[in-house]
Amino acid sequence: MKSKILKILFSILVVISCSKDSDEVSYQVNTQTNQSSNTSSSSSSNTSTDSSSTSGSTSTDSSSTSGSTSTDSSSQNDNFDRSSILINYSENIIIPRYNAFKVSMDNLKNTIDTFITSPTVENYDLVQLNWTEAYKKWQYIEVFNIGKAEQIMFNLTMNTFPVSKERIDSNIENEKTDLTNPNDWAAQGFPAIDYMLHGIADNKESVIEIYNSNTKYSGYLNTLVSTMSANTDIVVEDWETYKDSFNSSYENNATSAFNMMVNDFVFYFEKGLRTNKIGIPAGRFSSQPLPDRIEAYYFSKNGFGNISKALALESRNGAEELFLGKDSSGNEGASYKTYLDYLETDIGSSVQTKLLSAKDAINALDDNFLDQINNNNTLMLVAFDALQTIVVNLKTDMLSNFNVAVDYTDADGD
Amino acid sequence: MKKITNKPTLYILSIALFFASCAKEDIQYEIVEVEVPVVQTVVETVEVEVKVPVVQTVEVPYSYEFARAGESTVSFSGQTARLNMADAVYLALKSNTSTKEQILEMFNDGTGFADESLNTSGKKMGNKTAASPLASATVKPLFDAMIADFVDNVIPNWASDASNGQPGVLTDPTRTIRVNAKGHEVDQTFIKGIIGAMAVDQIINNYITPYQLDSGSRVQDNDNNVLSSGKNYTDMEHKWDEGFGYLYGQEADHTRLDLGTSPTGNGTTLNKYFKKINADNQKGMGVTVFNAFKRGRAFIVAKQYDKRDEQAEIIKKELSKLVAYKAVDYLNGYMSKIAAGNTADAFHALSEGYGFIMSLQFTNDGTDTPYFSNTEVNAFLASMDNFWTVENSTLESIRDEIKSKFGI
Repeated sequence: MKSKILKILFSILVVISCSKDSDEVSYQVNTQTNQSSNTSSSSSSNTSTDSSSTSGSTSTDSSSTSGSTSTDSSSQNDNFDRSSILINYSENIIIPRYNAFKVSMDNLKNTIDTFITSPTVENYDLVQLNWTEAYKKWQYIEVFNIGKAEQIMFNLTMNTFPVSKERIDSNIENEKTDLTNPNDWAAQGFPAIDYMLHGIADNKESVIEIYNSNTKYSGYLNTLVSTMSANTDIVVEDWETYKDSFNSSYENNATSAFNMMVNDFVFYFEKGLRTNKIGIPAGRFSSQPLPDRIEAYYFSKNGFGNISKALALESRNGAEELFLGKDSSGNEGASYKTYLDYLETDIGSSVQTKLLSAKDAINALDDNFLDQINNNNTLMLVAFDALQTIVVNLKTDMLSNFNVAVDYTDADGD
Repeated sequence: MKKITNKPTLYILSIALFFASCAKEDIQYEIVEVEVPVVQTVVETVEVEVKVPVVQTVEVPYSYEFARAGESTVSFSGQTARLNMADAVYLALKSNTSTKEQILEMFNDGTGFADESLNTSGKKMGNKTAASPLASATVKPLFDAMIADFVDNVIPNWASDASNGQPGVLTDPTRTIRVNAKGHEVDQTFIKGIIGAMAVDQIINNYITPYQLDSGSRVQDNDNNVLSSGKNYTDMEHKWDEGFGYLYGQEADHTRLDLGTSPTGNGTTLNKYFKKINADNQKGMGVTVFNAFKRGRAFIVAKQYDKRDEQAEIIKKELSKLVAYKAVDYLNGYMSKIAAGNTADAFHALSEGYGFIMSLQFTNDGTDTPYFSNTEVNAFLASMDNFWTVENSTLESIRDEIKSKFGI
């Protein structure tokens, strides 16, 4: 009997000790299955989100498809990588142009420092030369009214014209050094230096004589270039850190760098180039032509020289290079043009061709815009037409294709 | 077989069995996770947006009446003022007591009129002459030049007999006119040119185009019923009405039900010829254009911008045809009158034709392209510049090109 019980206990022991292993294995399998089903459900929900964000207007009451859609906080209607444009522009165009401009500003400042110390003809000539060089380089950066430049009203302090002669004379007399007041926008910058070199007297010798006899003029000339130089340094330095946020700011809203920059470009082409350099002086916005509103007015007026046409050509060239995403060596990268081509419109090519016609129309003008306006103003208006047709393409066709809202309204008047 | 009942054998067997069945317990195991592909049916839900046509009713009034809270939202007083100014400038260009300063002041400054309400309107013609985004900037100065030509050359020769190169008076049994050295009756070339350069250009190349209607935040504002500051209309509604005003601005009552069928023809500019075309060259143009204005305006209220633009296209093409009809009519009119020996009557007609040909550059084929460019128009005008020497063949070829381009 004892042996029988022992055998039974033995068998029971065997059975119990060998049964656990298979349970563990089955648990593992269950876990795996759960994980794989989670994966598949999450991927399906991602898919549905994507499809809703890339479709355009779907409700029938906003039936506009031709670009007149309300664009408030809407997403891009296409898959173009907008940040590629921002990166090409900031790294290959904007920052190099600012650096080149800073060099020319430093040169201008140095020559003015020398002239102030010793107002001779030789030193005057160097100032004048560096003023023209820096003014030409300026034409390549005025368009970038964004970031720090926008914040400190860089454009308005560097190139508001015509100047207020009365304000400048008063500032000279009062030995003014702080030009931050908006009333002084028309009393500083390149146009004010134009006046200080070419407007305070009508010939070189008389101008230099004034600097030799009245130190207040040197004082103001120094104030002008120091202000310009300091503001330039602020903007150039800021780009070192601003660049990264600029490059990544490509959302389709009113405050993204992409939207602001493309608006800046259109605004500059319409206002800075077409209106200010050509339209206003040619009388397009008034009953009669206004020749004293040309850029670099005193330089021409008193027969020192002429750069109004050269400045207009540089400005057009800068706009063309920006539109084509071209750096100063001629290499082209992502740009408004490549974006328009990607969208399969012919607007990019059309603008490219029209930019060349605009160059011809500006080239046909006399170097001296005063003479051109007085002798044959029609050619100024023909140049205006050549620029205007581009404005229409940029302002209506390009922006609506990008689904970007214009951020400025013309004062139309009833 | 011998029964296995031997005790030691049984023990050995059971021990062997024990070891055999539990051999596993002595081997170390690591737990390894193995991904086992298990076929499961997973339902993926993908959201697809599908355009579902929904019928939306848009109320189009029978008359050009639109209101908000019972008050009319339609306003175009600036356009009425300018059309009235055009009539006054036209009269000044027929009077030998006008001075250059006076006429230029009326044209460019919007002051110096006998009608004081015009002087205080704050409006002027000059900056709305060939001023649309599509117009050439070279044209407006031509109107200033016409004014100068009239005062400097025609007025001093008021009593002289006109001939080739000599400004003065031309008379025939039908009429008496004053012309410049090339035979142009300047009040005619001016006012017919203004029809295109001001009235037509402002409507079809400016006010009813997206350049105006959609600029800035106008679409957004219209969508959200955001009104113009201090007004009871949205900017977009108002811009459309300003276009309407350049055609109907001198109607006594623009809300009458028969505005479409019976334009009054008031004034010296667009509506005057609109009535003539509606009665003759293309009966029914009145209703076609009126309906398009009315419907486009209703679509703005209903926020249907594509439909709005379809109506705008109708207006662009029809008003363009108006200019073409009259250019052709006056070229033909000149040729029959000169054949009849009535030089004054003929030069009067040709002057009108000149103005309407000038207006051709402000037409719009619906794609924001003129039927004839500024360059082409300048070539036409140059070829017919001297009325004393122009050949009929030149005028016939211009006339035929116009007819062909417009399909009229």
